[in-house]
Amino acid sequence: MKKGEIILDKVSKIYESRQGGEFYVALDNINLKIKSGDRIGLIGCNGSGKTTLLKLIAGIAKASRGEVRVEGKVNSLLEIGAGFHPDLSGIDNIMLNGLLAGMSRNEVLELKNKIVEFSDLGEHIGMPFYTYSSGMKLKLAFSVAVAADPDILIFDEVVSMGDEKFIKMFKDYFSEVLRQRKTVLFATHVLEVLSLYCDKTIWMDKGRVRLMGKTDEVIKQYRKEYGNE
Amino acid sequence: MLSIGIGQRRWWDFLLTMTEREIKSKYKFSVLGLFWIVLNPIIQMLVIGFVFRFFTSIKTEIYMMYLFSGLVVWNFFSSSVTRSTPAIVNERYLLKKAKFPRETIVLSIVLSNLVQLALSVVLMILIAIFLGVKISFAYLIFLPLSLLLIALFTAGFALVFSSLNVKYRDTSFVINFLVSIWFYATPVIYLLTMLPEWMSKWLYLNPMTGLIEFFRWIMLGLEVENWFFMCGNLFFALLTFVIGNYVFKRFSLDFDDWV
Repeated sequence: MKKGEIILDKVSKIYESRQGGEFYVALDNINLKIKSGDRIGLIGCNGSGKTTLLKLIAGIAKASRGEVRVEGKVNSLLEIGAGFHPDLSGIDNIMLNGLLAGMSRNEVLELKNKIVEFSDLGEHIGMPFYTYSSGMKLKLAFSVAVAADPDILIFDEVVSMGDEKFIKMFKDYFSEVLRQRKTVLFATHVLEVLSLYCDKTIWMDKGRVRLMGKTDEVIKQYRKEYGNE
Repeated sequence: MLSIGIGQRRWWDFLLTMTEREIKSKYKFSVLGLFWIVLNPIIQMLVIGFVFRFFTSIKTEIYMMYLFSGLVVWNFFSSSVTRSTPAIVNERYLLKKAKFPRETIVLSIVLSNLVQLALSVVLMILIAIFLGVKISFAYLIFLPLSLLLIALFTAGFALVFSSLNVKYRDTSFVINFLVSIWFYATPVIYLLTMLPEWMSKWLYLNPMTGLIEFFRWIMLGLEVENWFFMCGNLFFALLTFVIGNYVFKRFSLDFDDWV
């Protein structure tokens, strides 16, 4: 397998209720092949299985059936603030998040100053994380992710929380991602963003892949279904 | 071979970083900070020591040392276990971020407490010198082994119950309750030699008994009631760690489903 490739082979994810006996099928027999350098958008209603799919790819959850194969370093910006300790300062939080993003301690120590600079947080970097606004949290998490230089990037809605400065940061980085042909997965409800960043899009519906193809095509069908063209 | 090397490196990186984080976040906003590590057992020692002066005929200074040695080990065990048990659930935002060795959540708590235990042991030696109680420095060579076994037993125990707590949230309530009773079944505020023989034998069913006895034998040169049973306890500590790891590995695959 090439770096940045993702293969899902007959993958299902079934959640069991706490009392047992009741099951919820979050993903139902998914077959996917994502090539290195693909930029894939993910759309679908709430509860259609987008997040579960991303979790399986990020290695956070385990498939109930089937096989998930991922080659290369994965980094996810799924939940804002995930992995950060609220009482510790931004700078004290960098080490653990760098490790979570796939770096080693030595690499984080080397890149720490660069991360701080890139995050553009100024004096806030020394303040406790609980004092941060959503946008500031996002900037820090994003800066760590960039420094880790992943092969596969996973984003969702959270990136829409940044200010103008962040959007510029994000766009600059994204053009770099394009140049380096990294694999990108992007789950969102803001369809305009997808046509901007993603060449292919997957439409998830009730735990299955409803449609996969060129972003514009899929969005067109999706809009037709929900009647808001 | 190379990939195994990198994996192990990553594992230790995580353990070290999580431990750092645990220690930093614990004392970050407390005024007295690290001073609490020494203040805690001293206050306990003085209070319990004062009360028990009326029940025991042992010389006060010596009893204080029995007490202190028992308390530092017991506090290490009880605070590690009660803090670890809900830890996986508390760190759910970490679990949702990335794939990483989940057991480091529990082990970092035990390790950060072990740092405190080591500091307490140094303090204990100073107190003993101050009170004029004889310390058997010759036995101190066994001290690392004793601390290691105490830590392994605690870690094994914590691994089992922290993973159970993810699915069965009653676990942490049971553990809190259990630990408070367990205290009385462990020779912390008393010694085995103070009990009738038939009773002390039963207490060896509690692995903490042997672990504390071994520690007291090293630090204070106290007689061991039953060497055979005590060694059994030490071996069981090792076994607990092995079982704990196995159970945790099995459960950790499904953690994300339950938090």
